[in-house]
Amino acid sequence: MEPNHDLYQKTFSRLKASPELKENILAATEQTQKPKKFIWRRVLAVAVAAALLFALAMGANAATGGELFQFSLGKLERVIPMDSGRYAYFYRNGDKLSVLVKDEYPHDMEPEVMPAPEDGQTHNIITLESGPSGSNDLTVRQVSLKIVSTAKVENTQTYTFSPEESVDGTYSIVYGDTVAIKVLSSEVSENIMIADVTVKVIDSPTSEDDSDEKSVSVTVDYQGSEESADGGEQPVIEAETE
Amino acid sequence: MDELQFADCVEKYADTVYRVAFHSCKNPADSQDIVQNVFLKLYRETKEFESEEHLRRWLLRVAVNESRKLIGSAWFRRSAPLEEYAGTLEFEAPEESELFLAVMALPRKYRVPVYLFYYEDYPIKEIAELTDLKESTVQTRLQRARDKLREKLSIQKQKGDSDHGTQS
Repeated sequence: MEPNHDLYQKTFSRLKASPELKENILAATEQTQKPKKFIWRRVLAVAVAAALLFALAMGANAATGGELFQFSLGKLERVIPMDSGRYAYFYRNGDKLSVLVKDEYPHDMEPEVMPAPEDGQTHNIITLESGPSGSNDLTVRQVSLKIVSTAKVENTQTYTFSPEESVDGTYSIVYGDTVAIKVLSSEVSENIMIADVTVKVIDSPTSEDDSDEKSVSVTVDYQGSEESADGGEQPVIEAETE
Repeated sequence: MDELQFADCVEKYADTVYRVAFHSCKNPADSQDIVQNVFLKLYRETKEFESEEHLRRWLLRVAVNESRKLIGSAWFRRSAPLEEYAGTLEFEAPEESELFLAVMALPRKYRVPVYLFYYEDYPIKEIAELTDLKESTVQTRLQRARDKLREKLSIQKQKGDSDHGTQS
């Protein structure tokens, strides 16, 4: 006699797992943590939670006048009045310079007297484009503007970016102009920063019309840790005059 | 797989896994341990199964592997009173009981291929995939198992006939 499929199936269909065994399996798995599957919905939920947490933290920071994050931003280096009647707080943390916009001048700091412009002196005329109070979106990392001469700058001038130069255009600037530098995007990798910057004259005492050509986009490539061409620690934008 | 689907799966496939395990180790207690391990693995498994057949094959394959693992371990209970256990299975006809004991008397390496072939109706190629054996090996084992079963069942039949003749 040879086994056939029907007899085999009939015989071994009697071999069954007991109901107790099935109950034990279900009981055992109830006590076991089911591994979480990697699903984008979960990632999205975490991202939303993180965004909410960040918004909450920024709100708390604003409520404390920016005191909350002062430590992480670094040491308060300068406070410069803005044309909007608010103040730009410059914090330095190593090579990183961050800007925080606040409504009030710090009580424990003497008001900075802006020096009168003189020939050959560096005069910082950066005015930040207004952002919401407490925002640190306007972070200008090691980018400052310097006018080498206090003489009136007329007509076409060439901006020189040091130590690495890359100029997409030329632009005229007049001494006394209020210039806004806006970092559109920046990437920092080790000591190299590549920033896309818009330089825009927003107020000029010598020019009545604000023509479109007063705005220029530049790309700044430089090594932050290296000394700039003029020996300073920060790369500068120089306006060379005749 | 959510909790409800898992419970359905246990209900649907626990017997199948138990049969594979029993064919491998001939021992109810060890078979139960294997079934527990297989379903615990399924519970922890995060991949999605494409179909019911995909799930079934996965369970069979894991059951074969878990059985091998247990047999190789120190926890394997080597002896079990099979006749006593067969008595609890409530076979309807004597040939069922004879077949059960004859299959269980086969060497271990023949039993799982025989089960997959005769009970689950898998072709040789798929049995080879499920058991990690070559197709030719599966074919040889099935042939030898068939020969042994034929021999064993013929002897039992002859014995049964002669017993019947003596009684009459």
